[in-house]
Amino acid sequence: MSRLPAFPEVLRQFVTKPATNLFPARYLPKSITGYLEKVAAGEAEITPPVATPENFRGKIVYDRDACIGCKLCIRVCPANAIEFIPETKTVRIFVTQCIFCSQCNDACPVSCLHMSDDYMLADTDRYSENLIVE
Amino acid sequence: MIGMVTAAVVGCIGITVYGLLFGLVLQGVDRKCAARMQARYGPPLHQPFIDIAKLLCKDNIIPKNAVTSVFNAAPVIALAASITILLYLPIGSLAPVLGGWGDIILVLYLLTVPGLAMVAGGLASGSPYATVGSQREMVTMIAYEMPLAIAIVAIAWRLYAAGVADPFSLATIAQTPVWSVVGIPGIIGMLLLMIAMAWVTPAELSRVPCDTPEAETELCGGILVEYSGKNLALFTLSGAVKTVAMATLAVVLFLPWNLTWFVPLAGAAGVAADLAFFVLKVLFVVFFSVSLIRVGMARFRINHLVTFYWGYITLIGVAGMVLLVLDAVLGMGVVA
Repeated sequence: MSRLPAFPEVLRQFVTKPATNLFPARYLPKSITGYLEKVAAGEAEITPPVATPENFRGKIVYDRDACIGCKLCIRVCPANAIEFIPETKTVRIFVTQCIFCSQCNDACPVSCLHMSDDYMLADTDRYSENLIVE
Repeated sequence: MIGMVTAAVVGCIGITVYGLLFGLVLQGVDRKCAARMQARYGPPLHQPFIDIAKLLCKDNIIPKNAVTSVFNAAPVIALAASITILLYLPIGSLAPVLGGWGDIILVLYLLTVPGLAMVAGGLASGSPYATVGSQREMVTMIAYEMPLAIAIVAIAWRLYAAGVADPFSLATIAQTPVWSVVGIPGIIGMLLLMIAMAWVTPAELSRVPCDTPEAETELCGGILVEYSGKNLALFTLSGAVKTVAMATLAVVLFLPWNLTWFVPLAGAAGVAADLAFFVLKVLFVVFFSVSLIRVGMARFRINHLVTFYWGYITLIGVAGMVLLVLDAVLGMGVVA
């Protein structure tokens, strides 16, 4: 078996549970929207996605009450994803533009920017409410 | 006479349907098992049926510099030959449909026909990749025929030495397990022949590690590179049927026991139990000889393949044959 090291491993994997996470369902449903409607009605169950690892950089969260309007985040943002709102002295972040580098998090002097675990951000409208953080 | 012909025709049609359906199911099981071994879930069991249905809906594309007649005839010949093999093989306790007209030597010849058809199709498709693939297929065939022939001839000869009448007939081989004929050296010899046969099966079916003629990574599909649509579907079906044939041959030669020999079951119940047991044995063979080997190994280089089959596997086969001969000469086991 020393020349064929894969065989014991392969046989072990045959009896253990597969590593694949069947998200969102075991097999591709006939219609995704129909499936989601069923899930909403409680008729079907959605397989939860794989848990995010530690220090995962997902959609940005912004604590506007803590923000002091110093514009440091705008200065460091390599993707120009952050816009200043002069009236309220806060910022607006466009998630479609964001490259999830988290440099603004490091630069913020009052730590009002954080990366969340949320990564399911698909949308048909790049200016939808979900994709603009104010 | 007319009754015999009618029975043969009905049997042929039945075997054709059985071969195609069971072949595709076996392919589904193989894909599922392979997926599990790779820690995946794999496609649903009926995925090969979906694939074939898709291929049958698609157009045949014939390359400009192909020899059209040979190119189109090759898949038909391959499928027809694969199905013909099944007509001479016993299934469970059912006797072969055309058992009276051919024996195991004929099966040995018929097994090469799908491969030869693929070679012809590859050479006729006018692509350098297919030509290289065809040449490799020929080399592969030369490499694995020897151990296969050794295994078959050794078993038939041992039956002959035991005084069994008509030892080359598949019905005889299926009804008299060689294991019950041989003594201790013969059992060791049979185990060696079984190892040889287990390695010949993937080569005969052109599966990994012996898929050198197809070799997706180097030859982009080799022999099959220019085939598409219905022709490719026919080749896929031929491969599926050949899997059934090869597994059945291994079962007949090495695992010929029937359930009804141990449990007294009469009539239809007995036949059904034997068929179920037969399916189990075929699944067992496919699991170890096809799925496990193809997941656990990488592809042989063509020169390695020849060294492996002509060197090691043939040596194992010859050792098994010598032990079987010794077994008969020394008078161990049953000798006439």
